[in-house]
Formats: sequence, C-alpha cells, structure tokens
Amino acid sequence: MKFVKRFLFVIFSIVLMSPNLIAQKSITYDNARLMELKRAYENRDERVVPHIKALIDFSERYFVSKIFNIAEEKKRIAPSKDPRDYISLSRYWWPNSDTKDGLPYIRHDGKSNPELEEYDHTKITQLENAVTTLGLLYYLTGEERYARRTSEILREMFLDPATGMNPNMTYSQYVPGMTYMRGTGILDSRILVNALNSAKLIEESRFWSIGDKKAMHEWAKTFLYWIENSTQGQMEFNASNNHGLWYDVIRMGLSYFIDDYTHVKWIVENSLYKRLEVQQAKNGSFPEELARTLGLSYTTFALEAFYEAAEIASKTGIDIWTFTSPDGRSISKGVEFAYPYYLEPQKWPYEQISPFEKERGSMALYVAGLKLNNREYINAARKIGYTPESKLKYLLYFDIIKK
Amino acid sequence: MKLTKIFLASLFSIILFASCSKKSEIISILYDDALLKSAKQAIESNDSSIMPKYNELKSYVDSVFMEMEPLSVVKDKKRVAPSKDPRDYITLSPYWWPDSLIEGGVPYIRKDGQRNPEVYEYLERVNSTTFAEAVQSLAVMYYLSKDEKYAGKAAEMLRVWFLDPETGMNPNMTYSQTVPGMVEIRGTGIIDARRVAGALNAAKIIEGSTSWTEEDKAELKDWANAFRYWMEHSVNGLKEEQAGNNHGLWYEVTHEAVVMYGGDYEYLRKIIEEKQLTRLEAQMQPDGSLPRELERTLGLHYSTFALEALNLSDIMGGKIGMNLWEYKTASGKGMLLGLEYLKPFWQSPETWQHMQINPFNKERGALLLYCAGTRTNNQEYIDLAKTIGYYPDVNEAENTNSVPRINSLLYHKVK
Repeated sequence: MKFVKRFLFVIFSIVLMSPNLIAQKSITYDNARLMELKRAYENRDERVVPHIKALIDFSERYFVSKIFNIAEEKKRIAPSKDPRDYISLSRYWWPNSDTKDGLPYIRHDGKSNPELEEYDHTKITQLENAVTTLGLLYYLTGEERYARRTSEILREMFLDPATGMNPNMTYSQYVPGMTYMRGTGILDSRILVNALNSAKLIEESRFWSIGDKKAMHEWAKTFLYWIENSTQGQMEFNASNNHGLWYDVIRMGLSYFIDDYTHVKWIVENSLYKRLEVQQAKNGSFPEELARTLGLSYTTFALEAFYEAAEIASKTGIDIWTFTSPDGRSISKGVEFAYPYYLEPQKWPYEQISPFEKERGSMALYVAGLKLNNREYINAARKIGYTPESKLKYLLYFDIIKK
Repeated sequence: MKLTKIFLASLFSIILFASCSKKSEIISILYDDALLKSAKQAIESNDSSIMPKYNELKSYVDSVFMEMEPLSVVKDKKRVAPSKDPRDYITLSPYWWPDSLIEGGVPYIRKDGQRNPEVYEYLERVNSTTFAEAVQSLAVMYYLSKDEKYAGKAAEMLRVWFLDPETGMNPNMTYSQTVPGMVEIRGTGIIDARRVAGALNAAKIIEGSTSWTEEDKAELKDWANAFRYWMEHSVNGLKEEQAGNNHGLWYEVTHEAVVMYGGDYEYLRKIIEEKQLTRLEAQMQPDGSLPRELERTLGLHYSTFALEALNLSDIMGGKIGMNLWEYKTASGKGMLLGLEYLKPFWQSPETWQHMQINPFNKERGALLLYCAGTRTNNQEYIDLAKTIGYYPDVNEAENTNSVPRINSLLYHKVK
C-alpha cells in the first residue's frame, strides 16, 4: 500500500510537472533572455539600469491615473450596440470625397487616418503597454505592488462584467460603409496576446488568484474559438500575406496560454510551414510584402511573425529556426534577403514611402544572429546601432551593446 | 519494472472504467432516463400500450425528418444581423410592432401577447424550433430502435447547424429577439436558446453511435463551451440571468443543459442550488403564485411555463442525485407549492382569475402533475394527471420546448 501511494505520488508529480519543467514566464518572450535581464539588473549592469530606472519612474503614472477600459467614454460604438465589443478603424481607410456622407470609406495605403484615435485601438495599446511594463517590473523587482496593479488592469480590461472586452474582434478594423466582412482586423489581437504575457509574468503573485487565472484562461479559450471558427477568422486564415502569418502566431500564443501544446504543434506543422512555402520566394523575399508602399517595413513584419512563432514553438519543443522546407524556404533565407537593406535602407529597390526604422533591422539581425549562431549578423546589428529604450522587447536584447 | 507496468496498466483501466461507467449512466440531458429505458423495454416486448405512440413517432420521423434537408441559420436568410455575418442568429422580438405615431415606425412598441407576423421573415425562429424537434426525434428513434440511420441523420443535421464552417451558427445569441430602433441591449432573446439545449440533448443521446464521431463530439463540446462563456459573460447573458420572471428560470435551464453537455456536473449542482432554487424563492409568493407571470396577458400559460422550466431543472438535477420537487424553503415555497396553486386551474382553466387571452392547453398541467407525483411518490397527483389526460397537441411545441410526439410516448401512462 505504501508502495502504491508513493508510486501514485510520483506519477502525479510527473504529470503535474512535465509541461513546466522550466518556469515559463511568458508566451512570446524568450524566457532565458528574461532571466539574463534580471541578472543584469541585479548586477547593476549599466546597460540596463538606467532604462529600468526610467521605466520605474515612468510606471508611476499607472498607479496614479484611473484605470480605463474599452467600454466607458466610448466615442464610437459597434453596430451590436454593445460597448464591450471592441471596435477599431481600418488604419488606411478615409472618407470618400466623391460621396456626400463620405461612405463607403476608400483606401490610401500607408496613410494613417487620424480618426483611428476615436476608436478602441489606442486604448488597448495603452493598456497593453501598462500591463507589460508593470508585469516586467514585478518580474525584475519582485515588488508585489506591480503585480497588484497589473492584475487590476487585466481584470478591468478582460474580466470585469461591466467593462471587460468581449472575446471577439468582429468589429476590428472596421470600414464605415463597407458591406462585406473582412478578416483583417484579427491582426489587432497581437496586442491582446502581448497583454496576456503579463498574466503569466504575475502568475506567482498573490494578487493573481486561481480564480483570476481560470477566468483569464476561459476568456482566451473562447477568443481562440472565435478566431478559429468565425467567418472573419476563416477569412484571415486564408490571407496570403503577413496577416496569415500573424493569424497563426496569435492562435499559437492563445493555445500556449491555455496550455494546449498539442494544438501549438498542430498549427506549426499544418499551417505555418505551409505558409512559408507559399509566401516566400526562392530568394527569401515575401513578394506580397514587396508590393506594399512600405515594402521593407512589411518584409520585416513578416519576419517578426516567424520570430514570434519560433519563440512560442520553442517552449513546446519545436525548433522553427532550423526548419527548411523541401524546396529550401526558411526563416534564415528571409533574413538573408533583408540583411543588405537593413545595413543600407536607401538601397531598397521597392517602395518605402516613410523612412524605415533602422532599429527594427538591427533587432531582427541581432536575434537572428543569436538564434542561428551567425557572428556576421551580430556585428552588423551592432554596427547599425540600437538603443534599448524603454521597450521590453528591446531591453531583452540589451547585450547588443558591448560592455 | 514489470510491476510498475502492470500497475500503470491497471491504474489506467481504472481511470478509464470510472469515467466510462459514469458517462454511460446518463442517456440524455432533458429527458427522464428511466422513462426512456422503460419505453425501450416496452417497445421491445411489443407492449400494446406504447406501440401506437411509437409507430406514430416512427412514421413521422421516417416521413418528415429523415427526408428533411438539414436546416441552418444561413438557410434562405432574408435578414442579416448588423454584424453582416449570416452565421449570426437573428430573430425579431415577437410582441413588438411598428409605432404608428412615428414616421418609419421605429422604435417599435410592445403589444404583449400579439405576435407581429414580421417575425416570420427571420427564418431562424421557425427553423431552430424545427431543428431542435427533428434532432431530438431522430435521436430518440435511434435510442429506441438502435437503427443507425436515425443517428446518421441527426448527426448530419447537428453538423450543419453547429459545426459547418459556412453554415454553422456562431456561439452567441446577440441578435436574438431584436427590436428595431431600440438602443439598449436586452437579455430576453436568450429564451430562444432552449432550442440549443434541445439540440445538445439530441447530441448526448446519439453519443456512442458510429455516426457521431469523437471529433464531432469534441467540436460540439468546444461550441457549447464558447456558448456557455457567452451566456455567462455577455451583457445579454448577464441581464437575462437577473430576469425576475420565467426568463431567468429558462436562462438557467439552458445554462444547466450547456454545462451538463460539457460534463461539468459539479458546477451543474452548484447552479441548480445557488441560482435556480434561489430564483424560485424570490419569484414565488407564499400562496405559490408567480406574480410576474400573473401580470401577463397569458397568465396561466406563463405560470405553467415557469414551472415547466423548473421541471426540466429537476430532470437534470435528478441525474446527479438531486430532487427539486422535494425542495422546500423554510417558509414552504417550492415547486409543489407552485403546483398546488395552479392545480385547480389546470383542471378548469375557465376559472382562472387573471388574464389569458388565448386558450390554454391543460394537458401541460397533466404532465407536470405526473412528474411531481412520480418524483414525490404522490399517487393523488398521478391520478389527477390521468383524469385530466395527456394527449399533447403537436402545435404546442413552440411554447413548451417539448416535442409532443416524444413526450406523448415517454408519458404514455398518463391518459
């Protein structure tokens, strides 16, 4: 009997532990880098300390200002009449000057319409910034007040019965006057997956209860159902450009968040790899992105999707970085194509109507350098230069600056 | 090592066995499983008291539902929801009419008990009722006859209604019972969701047939969980949950069915105890009447309708060892008190003191009396049920959420 008990205990602990042999602190960030950053902060590494101190100062505003949400003080409400339904304007669509009421809106690629501010997109971006900053500071300092505030914002944003966002994006990237449905708005939910990172960062805090965790899981699970089964979701699934890539990254992130690792694997093998084969040309470029007015930005955006997918997948034991399709398509092929233009953006032979943010290039090269063990990329990244700023994603790669 | 393996194997089979045996106890969600079993036995032994009912159901299912093209929310759709998504269920609130004093007629105004014919332009209303009736009839025929063809047809209809990527209903009822021109969000449309409960009931009954695969089951479970989330968290759901009349009771019935279909029996017990029984206490007067139903223009119908909801909660609770008919608050409120209040009017509906602008079908009372009698071992109720008699009207389905041909077979002893 004693043997049985002990044996049961062992089985039980294996079952409990196996998915989490290493504490997984986030969905989309590299956990080893998070640990490095914490160590550097504790060792008073000058490359990170000023930035983290700046973040600490900056974050005080999140404690004094009132927590907001998408439901209240809403200027534009969704056709459902439900203030808890997220609604945003499709970025590049403008009133039609040929019609009296300006409807339906028409597209000017690359030109953002200032009406964007009247919708919910800015709000969820700001909320995401707040929880990301606070969640990271909790991780770095261990101070419970950060976790407490993170949890308050997350509850207000997702779980509160009066203010919590409904788990769908039916009215995301809405186009006034348009009569057909589009799937493009699902791209906005990248922001939500990022916010969920923070729910993981504060998981051990007493301010994030089992009940909170369960409720957040249910939210994510329902949202995932919407993404995979709604009409818009199916449309976005069929998108042949970066939208299709991000669609997969988003559902991978949500699946990982709800501990469905089998589904993460399924998405990588049955969808993401196929997209790579379909979307990437032999020279490593993404022709659909080259056709945009911001060609280099969108090429990088496509690469960033693969980077994030690779990060999530690595936590379930899948290595996307070393994957090469039978006809030679791979992430490294994509980096190879963009590499010379990161060094000299002015040589970009396609359209790029606004200046390319060079730090996005050095970041892309640095991460690729580390993941692919490529010195040349690392040196190039350092040459292009880079300020970690106050952004977590940049801070994580603080050692791009040599000591 | 060998010992470990043997141990593992046996542990595994214990777990498997435990989970299987628990599931196999429950045949359906909304029917009294004992009645299903005894009906099956009676049919197998060619019992003359049941065969006419069985043959009636069988011939109707064979000629109508087996031949029916699968229904869906997108089929022949005339009116699409503001979301522009044809997969969003949309219906009109039945008792609201254009306001003749305003140009354009919106917002609509309410005329209780008078159905606006415009509701029939929203085909989901009729189609969902027919669908729920069809799949439950097919599923019961499958259970009684073990003929796979019935399960096959039910599975096909369930897939088209819920799971198909182009025709499958989105798991929400945001646009159910809409009122043109109304700005506020209402919860009332969730009452239509009793058809969802009926459909899940059918899916439960055909579990184990080869036509309803593990994948189908998993997909419908995901759908049900997403719908449950919507019921528990949406503005519509939160409002309906708080409704102080039969709507609150019916909200819970659907909620219970969805939770039960998902296999969460512990939570089922919790919501019956903490939600449904609390409502019963809050809605009932010490004399057993339900004042919120008495004020309606169809007072007897709605009073009975409320008790019918509680009866379904009892059927579900009964499967996990609860008995709601026996439940009584300190002040004596309970389903039996409600039954006592209505009993005389079921016997003689013409003596009803409140409004009832349409005729009332007293057989609905007979069924409730019979259920109460069997659940509380009260022969008097059973005898009274038989005196009133139970020959359900096939056209009553829309009001009562039951399928008359099935109930007529299950309750064939009440006559």
